[in-house]
Amino acid sequence: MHLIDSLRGSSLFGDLPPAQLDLLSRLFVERPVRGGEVLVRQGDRVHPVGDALFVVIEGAVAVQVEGPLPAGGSGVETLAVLGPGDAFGVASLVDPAPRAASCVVVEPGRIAVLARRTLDALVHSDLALAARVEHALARQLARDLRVFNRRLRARLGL
Amino acid sequence: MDPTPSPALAALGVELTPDERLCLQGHLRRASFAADEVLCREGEARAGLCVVEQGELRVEVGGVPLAHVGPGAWVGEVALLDPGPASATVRAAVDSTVLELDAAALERLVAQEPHIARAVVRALSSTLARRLRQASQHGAEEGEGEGGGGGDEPPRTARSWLSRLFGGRRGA
Repeated sequence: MHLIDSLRGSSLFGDLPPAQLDLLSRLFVERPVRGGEVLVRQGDRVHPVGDALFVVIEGAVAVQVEGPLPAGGSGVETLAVLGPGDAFGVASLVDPAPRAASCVVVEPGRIAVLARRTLDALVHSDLALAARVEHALARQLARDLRVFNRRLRARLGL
Repeated sequence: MDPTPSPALAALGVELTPDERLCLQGHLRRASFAADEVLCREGEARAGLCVVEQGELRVEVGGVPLAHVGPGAWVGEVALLDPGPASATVRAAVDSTVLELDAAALERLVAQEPHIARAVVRALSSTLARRLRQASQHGAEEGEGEGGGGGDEPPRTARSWLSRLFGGRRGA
């Protein structure tokens, strides 16, 4: 799987025009990940310079929250398992709060990283693409909030 | 077009100059609602973002008021960015005027005025991210239980939890 195919198949950037998708893919840096590697750690402070958006190219990444569980006691709850084309780190790009969840590699593969400073610099080099990317990030957050809302209502019996 | 931008756009256009806010305003549609009138009903399709210009909106879920949204604050950003059924009913608490932005207008803004569109979606994103964080934090707090209360207060819990998802940004 190539990075551009992962981006094209992603809910985040899947509807970008091909030319913009190609430009965007060149801003990502790819790297291999090994099983058990912690890519994001819950509670960590977000560093404005070191922060990034991650997209899975190959393998799988679990989004996990550690703490009190709804059923009682405490432990690790897996909220989602992400595969090729799925993104994480979106909320931290816009909200400078400690990480709400950990992201742990559960199946080795490769990820693509878009540094926040690269994204911020895009506004000077390609404003049209910068606006498309920001729009895509906002849409992802809206989808996440809708899912969260649905899960919350189900739990509350509403 | 108005000579000066509406003060209601201060928070949404926080990264924009007055001239840019005026341009943004040109892409918005002004609408008025009488007290108690419903802007959108839970479960029904909703047009998009409503920035309160004058008055106050009330956000209700299952008939329970969860949030009040005043001038400069907005509702409907999820409907704008991820079209689907409204997750709450929005009603005018008093006679109110709103500035509306629907998905088609946002798409035009992204294509024609990328700088303005980028600033607007960033403002929306930071509200969405903050709500996601607050809602997930609340989930953890609830699990801890409240000392002595037995923790068995579903309506109050449901209300306070949900209100974090709908806690409209307070206006200026």
